Amino acid sequence: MKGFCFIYRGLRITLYITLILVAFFILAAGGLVLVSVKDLPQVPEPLGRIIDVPQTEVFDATGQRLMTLGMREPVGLSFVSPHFINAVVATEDHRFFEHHGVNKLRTIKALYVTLFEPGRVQGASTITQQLAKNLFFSFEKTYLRKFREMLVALQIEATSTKQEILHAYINQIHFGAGAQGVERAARVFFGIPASDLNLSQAALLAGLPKSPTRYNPFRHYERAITRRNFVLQRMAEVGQITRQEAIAAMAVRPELTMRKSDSRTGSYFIDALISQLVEKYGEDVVFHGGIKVYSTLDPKLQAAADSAVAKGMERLDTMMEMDSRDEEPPQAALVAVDTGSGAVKALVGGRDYFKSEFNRAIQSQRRPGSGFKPFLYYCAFNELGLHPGTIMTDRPVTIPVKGAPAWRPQNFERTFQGDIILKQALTSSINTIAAQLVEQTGPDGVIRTARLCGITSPLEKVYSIALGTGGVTPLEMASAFSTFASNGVRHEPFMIWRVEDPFGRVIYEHIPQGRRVLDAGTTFQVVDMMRSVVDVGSARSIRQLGFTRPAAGKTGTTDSFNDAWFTGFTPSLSVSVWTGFDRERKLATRTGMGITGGRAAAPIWADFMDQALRNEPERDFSIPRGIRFETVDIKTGCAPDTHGTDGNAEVVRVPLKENQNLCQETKP
Amino acid sequence: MFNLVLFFLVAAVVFSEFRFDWGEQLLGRYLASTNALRPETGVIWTTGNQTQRAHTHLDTIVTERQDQARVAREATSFSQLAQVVLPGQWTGLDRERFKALYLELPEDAAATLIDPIELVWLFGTPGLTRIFCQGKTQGLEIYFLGSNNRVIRQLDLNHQFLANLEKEENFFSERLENIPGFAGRIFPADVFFTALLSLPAEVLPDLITTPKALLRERGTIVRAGIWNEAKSGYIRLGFEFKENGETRIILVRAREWAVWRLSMALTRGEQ
Repeated sequence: MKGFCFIYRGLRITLYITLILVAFFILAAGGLVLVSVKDLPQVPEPLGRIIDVPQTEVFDATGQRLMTLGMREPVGLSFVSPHFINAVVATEDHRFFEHHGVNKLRTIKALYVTLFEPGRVQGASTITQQLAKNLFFSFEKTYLRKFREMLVALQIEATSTKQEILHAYINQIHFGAGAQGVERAARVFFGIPASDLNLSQAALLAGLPKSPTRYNPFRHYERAITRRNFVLQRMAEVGQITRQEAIAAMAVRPELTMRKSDSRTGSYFIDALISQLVEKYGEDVVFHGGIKVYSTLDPKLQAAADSAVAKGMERLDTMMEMDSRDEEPPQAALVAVDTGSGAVKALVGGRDYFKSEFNRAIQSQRRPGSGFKPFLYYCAFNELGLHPGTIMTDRPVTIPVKGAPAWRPQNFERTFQGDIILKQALTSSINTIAAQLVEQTGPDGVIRTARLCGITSPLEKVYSIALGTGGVTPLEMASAFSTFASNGVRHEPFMIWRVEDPFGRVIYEHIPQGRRVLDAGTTFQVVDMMRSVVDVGSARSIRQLGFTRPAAGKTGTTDSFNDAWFTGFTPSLSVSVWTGFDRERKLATRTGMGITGGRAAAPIWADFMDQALRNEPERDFSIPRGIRFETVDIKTGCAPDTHGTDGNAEVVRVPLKENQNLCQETKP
Repeated sequence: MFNLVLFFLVAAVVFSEFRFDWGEQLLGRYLASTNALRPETGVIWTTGNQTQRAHTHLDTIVTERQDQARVAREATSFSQLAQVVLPGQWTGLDRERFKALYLELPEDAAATLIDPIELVWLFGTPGLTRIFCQGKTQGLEIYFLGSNNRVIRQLDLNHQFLANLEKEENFFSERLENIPGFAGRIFPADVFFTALLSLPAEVLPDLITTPKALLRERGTIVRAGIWNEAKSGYIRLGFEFKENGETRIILVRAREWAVWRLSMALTRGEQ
């Protein structure tokens, strides 16, 4: 009896202690609720509002959608493969359809493990809790944050159906690689809509949200497959699929899209366009405004540009005998501008966007070398009254520079040709003649001409500016040469035709405004000389490659062979190609022989132009009023058979303006 | 007994909570009832606010544009249009509106801006899709656009041109002496018309190219003047009308060669 009393008393004490603990727990929880509730975030009502964020869309020049900004493409549950829904529920929260926001037993177990088994952490978040965390809370791991997250989950469960919660969840979870929401993820990883996901693909995607970086299949494919197999195993365990189905799906290795990394846009053009938009309207409008942006990008030309640069880089690698493991391969940039409007129709900023997002087409200012000479020749014709038939002497030149050593420019070939007409001087890219011209015009004149044509980079007032010692971008060069192509009419380069708000109201549109900045006749004379560069000069490789359309341009190679350019144009398209290393390094063969713009950049240009203009009618450059052609001996500057020229004289045709004549005493 | 009842009660409460989740549901409903009073914080609200700000910004842009378009539609002259379309702003211009503004211009100003024949051609060309005007620091530019916004014709209404228009509009309430351009070349109406009518008949249509403009005016012409500068082959003639003690001037354009003949006749008359 005494023993029974003792046991009874013990039980009673235990009961009281338990009651006190329960009461304490209830009071503590209640207090915590009251403390937390006032700072708890408001939950949007209805819950569907959270995925109702308008998407900014970018279209190409043909009206096809290039991409959607915001990384999310909301989709209804009925448009998602059931495999994915099952996989997510099995992996993340298999009692999702039974609980009311919190899985108590799992929570208690996780709490026990966390408190009493140091080093071990066990998650217990339900899908609703994960949703609450993603919508409202930071990723800071504190008990208070977990508690607040739990409260919000309870509220969401109390006001929304399971379908609504699942719908919100699958549309906002992050899968990595810039993909938010299952539709976007399915497109990014497999190039298909979420409705078409098969069991293996769905399981792979369902495994990613746990750690999108760690399981990123683009970078860690095997790790992602292991995680995928775990998901399939879970699905079999909870009875959503049979063991056989799981095993069959595990045997499949899902094929990923060609996208190689988790970069933002995958396009140098779109990167540049977004920068412009952000500068104009701010990030809120661009990323959250749901605007529609109609760009100038021509998909056919962009494909041609990508392909030409890829092939050109392969050629250059071979020429340089580059090791495929070389961490810093040579780079290239290409910009194509419509000469009639200034629209940027194609842009490549490097050989591989996924390896380097640095946009060399618009961010890299490199020395254009002789590519700058057309500005000098225009300036000399315009200000000194010279013309393509004017004779000058190719000889050693020393130009005194105030406060600095004298400038002694050298020719590329290190030889001198004696008397020669200016057309031939540009065709052969003779530096000593360019130096004599800039000595007379002054660097100011050359810079002024370059500015009129659209060069905006800082240029130093030094004589050597005529030989391209000031850094410029390929976009500037393409745009500036476009002014030559359009006989002296300048169009500002642009990438956006039109911007509309989400309701289709136009908030911006570009009007291509042409402004005459150069004299048409003089411009034509320079263009004619640049045609000669392509036909028989330093860019003749273009003709050798089979490009036969009327074209003009100028190669450019810096003294150190660090930069090799070709900028050229047809009457409708102006294209600049740059090749070189990002760091100071010479473009050269194994034997140390430097690679010129004519060998590295011109073939890329020719390849691009050939593809870009295929099926386009051939057009010749228009001849301005008052221009006449005359045949001239390149050594005398006179018509053949005058001044004692013999029958073997090398002659060319030069365009002359009304007040200009051959064989005049204009020799400077 | 009490302890047992208490025990079972507590056990029942705990069991029923685990079985039916009534605690969570109760708490969830309570939180839902306080939802509206709680702050809009968290990632989703930040995104929402950004969207809100973006839409407000876009609405501002659109509203400004609509206001400009409205004011542009209501403008009664190019000068007024230039005042509302500020540098950097732009708006579309209805064809009929452009025509109305153009027809309001004095003839020589209109011809300076664009030859009427060219305008007829422009309006007749199927390629013309719309007219667009843009404010510039140097004035106003009007573009006749074809497909893809290609500029078919561009008109520059610089500040000088617009200032001249303003001046010409003021001329209507002036006297000929107050206009420096007529200085030294003002004649009494009878002298002027005597000389004019002494010219061969074929000269007259080139001298008074728009007689209707003069016929429309009330009052009598008291004096006439010849402008001291020719523009695009034309010289302006000013006719000072007087009615009820008030004067106003009507400007018409005359062919330069015809004015030269008239000047000769006037000189002969004076001699």
